[in-house]
This record gives sequence, structure tokens and C-alpha cells, in this order.
Amino acid sequence: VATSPAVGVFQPRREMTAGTRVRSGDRIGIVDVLGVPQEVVAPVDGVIGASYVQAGEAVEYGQELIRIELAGARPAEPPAEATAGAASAGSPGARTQDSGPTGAGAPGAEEA
Amino acid sequence: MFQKILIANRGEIALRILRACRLLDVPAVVAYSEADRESLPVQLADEAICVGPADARRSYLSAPALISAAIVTGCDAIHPGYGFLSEDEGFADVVKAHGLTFIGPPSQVLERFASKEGTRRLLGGHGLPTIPGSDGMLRDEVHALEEAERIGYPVLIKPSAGGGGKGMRMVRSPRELESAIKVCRSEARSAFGDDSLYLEKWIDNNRHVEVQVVVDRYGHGVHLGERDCSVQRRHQKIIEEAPTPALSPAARADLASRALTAVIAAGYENLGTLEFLVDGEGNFYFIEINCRIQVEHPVTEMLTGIDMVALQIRIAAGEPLGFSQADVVPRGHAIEFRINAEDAAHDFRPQTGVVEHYLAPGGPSVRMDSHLYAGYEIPPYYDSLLGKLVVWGPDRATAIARSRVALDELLVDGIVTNIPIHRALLVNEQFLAGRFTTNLIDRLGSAAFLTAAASSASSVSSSAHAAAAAPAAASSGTAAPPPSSASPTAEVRR
Repeated sequence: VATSPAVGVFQPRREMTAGTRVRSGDRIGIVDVLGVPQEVVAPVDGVIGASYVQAGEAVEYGQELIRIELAGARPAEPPAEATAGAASAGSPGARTQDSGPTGAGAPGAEEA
Repeated sequence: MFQKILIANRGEIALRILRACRLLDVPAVVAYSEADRESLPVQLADEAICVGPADARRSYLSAPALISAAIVTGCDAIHPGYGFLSEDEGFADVVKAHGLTFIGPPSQVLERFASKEGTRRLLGGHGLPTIPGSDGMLRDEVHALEEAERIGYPVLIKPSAGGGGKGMRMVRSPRELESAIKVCRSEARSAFGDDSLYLEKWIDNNRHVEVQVVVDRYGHGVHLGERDCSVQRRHQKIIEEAPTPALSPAARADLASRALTAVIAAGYENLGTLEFLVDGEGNFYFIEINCRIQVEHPVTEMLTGIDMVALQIRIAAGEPLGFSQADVVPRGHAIEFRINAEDAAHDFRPQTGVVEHYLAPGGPSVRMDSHLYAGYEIPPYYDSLLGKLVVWGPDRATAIARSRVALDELLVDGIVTNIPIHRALLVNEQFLAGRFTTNLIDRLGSAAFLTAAASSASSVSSSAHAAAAAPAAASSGTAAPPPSSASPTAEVRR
């Protein structure tokens, strides 16, 4: 799970929609701290999963923001079509925008 | 009044501020670091927000994190507590720039009182005695000897660029001065690259006495008496009491009213504490001002019945003081014991660990301000203060007797605390006689101090108990507070 680097207002990068493949360290959004953006980075290689907060929402330091699904098979499989995301709905209070589970499927998906 | 207050601190003071907010019916948000997630103020808060990692520079000392936290939680004021950013005029300035109120003196007031040297000159100009010193830097040996003669021995040689005691020497005679000045010059040159020196009068066996003032935005102020903080180790206070046993009532009244007059004339605002050194003859010298709520404020609360944190918040919100000096009627005697996670037998080494059992003492006029609970893990990142035991009595002997009972009852299991040193102090003849000076514990060494107390405890404590019991009994018929009141009743009329 990508967590917030600071207290502020969360804005995901527009292109980082569910299902997008990311590498560890990729910038997937920002937290605006008094006008200064702090990068939210992907902690692992994987695929963007469920968002726990909405764009424009206030977040605290360390808060879980976006789930990154570990790709079961690491090499270039194109991201699976977004299927109805039963996988990511599990986390309580999570606002599931559009979940994009990998082809590997929910049961085996480890949480980053 | 404020809509909502961000509490930008931790531990017992965060809890203390939370209580004041509730009293004033103002919602509060506790800002905390990752290391304090399980802390009591966070658990008791209606709302809490994590502002950063354990490292204080990225949490409790991070202005952007704290201000951002205040804004996203809808706060319009920030209470900095003590330590951390509480006297940082830069922080106060940025808080204001974001449309929030800093609960403390306004930034321009903090700025005016930021430099110790400048504050001494400012308040010295408004009638407060300061420590006599040389007229500027010492030009040569002859000049040094002349100035020392004028100030009066003993004198302290201090490097202008100094800090940490380097290049500093106390001398008692012209001969000592002549030889020491050469050493000091070369030490200062190698340590700071600047060998300019000046002289300050050395106050032997001094006591630390401080005056609490409070001034509203409209220039109305009162003093809330003084506190004696002479029981220290390495310049850290461990016991504070009021009134000071060092001065007569007339001298205390004189000190407090001169302090108040000077700060009002100098344009001070909000709560403040003026620290003085008092010598053996009762002469006092102004050293510095603390522009914040202090750790030892409960001592004054016990004496006056005033909630000082609530008062501080009201004044920051622009409310007038609402009472005058005549309404402040201090009663009895109060003593505060700082309970720290440190090993007094081993040079006060800080301790961490898990609190296995915790029991706060009770009884008449006993107050325990602490964030401890059983199972609490003390994080290693911050200071070692675990809480403050504050005990009131109609007179000093009763306060001491009640303190002994309370300290014996206080239970903090699982970590080493400094409770033994407090027990030792309560049988120390110097302390019982009210003659404690700031250098006493350090001069003896803490371990030696504890040993000495242990060996004399049996003989001294019995006589001290007897001494304490007599005035307590004598006063119970006359001056004692109503038995039902847990703390002295408020004597302040709004």
C-alpha cells in the first residue's frame, strides 16, 4: 500500500488509474502540504489497485492511500481488463473507485 | 473564542491542554508522531492526526506538518505547549500568515524578547536588576582588574562567543584573575576563533526564583506570585515550590510587582515567566524570560486556583484578563515533583521501557498530571518527563508531609524513575530548612546524594514527620481548606 508522506490534501496523478502498471518508486500522486507537493510513490512493483481516499481528501502522515497489487508474474503481461473488483473491497472503509485486480486474481494477491 | 484548537505537543502537556480545551468547550485535535500513536492524549482526544514520524524534526518540530494538520482538520489556533516550537517566533509568524492564531505571545512580542542579552537590556531599562558585568569587552589586563574591582569578586570570566562552559572561569581574587585571563583567552581563541572576554558577577550558592505574569492584549496584567526552582541537577529543575522559602513576604511582593511593571512597560503579552537568581542576601538579578506555559505551572494553579492554560487560551483569543491583582489571593504552599524516566543512581541516565503498573496517588490536595497508563511503552525519542506530582498544604510543613505520603503511594513499575531522589530530598536537611541552592545535587553527585539520604533517612524522617505534623494540626482548625475540596478553591472573581 502506498502511504502518505505528509499531512495534507491528496491528489492522485490522473494517469494512475486502477490497473496501471507501476514500478517501485514511481510517482503515483501528491499530498499538498501548504501548497508544496510531496510525492506519493509506489512502494513496490505492481499494479494500481483500490484507492482508500478520494482526490482532494485530507490525509494524515502514514495514511494508506492506494493499494498496489503485486503482479503474480513480474514480466510484461499487459494489465488485465478491469473486472468488477471484488478483490479490493475487503478493506474496511475503503472507497473503491475502480479496482483492477491482476490476472493472478484476488486470493493470492499480497498486500504491498 | 476559537472554533477548534490543534494541540501541537505530546505527553502530559498535551493532556493538560486537552483538558483546558474541554473546560472552555472548544473542540481540540491532538497532533502526534508515529511513536505516540498509542499515547494517552491520542486515546483521549476526540480527534487526533498523525503529523510525521518519530523524529521530532519531522513531526513536533515541523512547522509545515503542524500548520497543514491544523488547516485540514479545520482548526483556527495552535497550542504549542512547552519545548518544541513554543517560543519560536518564526513558527508563530508562519502560523499567523496562514490565518491561524498561535496560542502564546504574538510573533512580534516573541521577537522582541528573543535575544537573552537584548531582553536583559530591555527589562534592565525598565527597572529590573541584572547581573552586574564589565562595561563591554575586556581590553587588557588592567581593564579587567579595574572592572573586576568595580563589580566585586568573585567574578566569572566569559567568552563573548561562548557556549557550553568553554573558556569560562570563576575567579575569587585579582591574582586568580591575572592567571586565568590568559588561559581563557587561549581557550576561547581555539574554541571559537574569537578571544574577546567579558566579566560577570558570580552569584555564589544562588537560588532560582521565577515570577509568573500574565498580560492581556490591552496591557492589563497581573502577577501570580513566584516559584522557587532551586532543586536542580545540571540546570534541569526537578522540584518546584511556591512560595519561595528564600524571601520574606515583603521581598516576594516587591520582586513580583517589579517584574510585572517591567514586562508591561516592555510591551509583553500573554503568559510569561521571568527567571531570577537570588543570592544569599536576598538580592535578585533578572536572567531571562520564558514566553510559554511552563512545566511547573500547576504549582501556581494550586496556590491561586486559576486554570492557567485556559487563561492563556482566552488571552490568545483576544479576551480581556477580566480580573485584577487584588483578585489574586495565593493560599498555602505547593510543591511539584517532576517524575522522570531516569536513573538517579546512575547520573540520571534516561530510561525506556514498558510501564507494567501505574498508580497515581490520591488524598487531600494531591494532583498527578501524567500521561502514564499500565502497558504504555515509553518511546526513546523525547524527553524523560513522565508526569508531575503536585501537592498542596496550608503551609510548607504540611505540604512536605503530604508529599511524603503521596510519593510513597505513587507506583510506576517496569521502568526506573527518579522517585528515589524525591524521597531523598524530602529527608534532606537543606531542603527541609528551605536552604537548597541550585548547585547542591551536582556538587554532591546524585549517587552520593542518594546514599547520604538513605543513611540519614531513619533519623531525619522521624523528626521531620513530627515537625510537619505539628503545624498541620495547628492549622487544621483555622486555615485549612474545606475537607471536601480536592484542590484549593478558586479565589479569583471574574
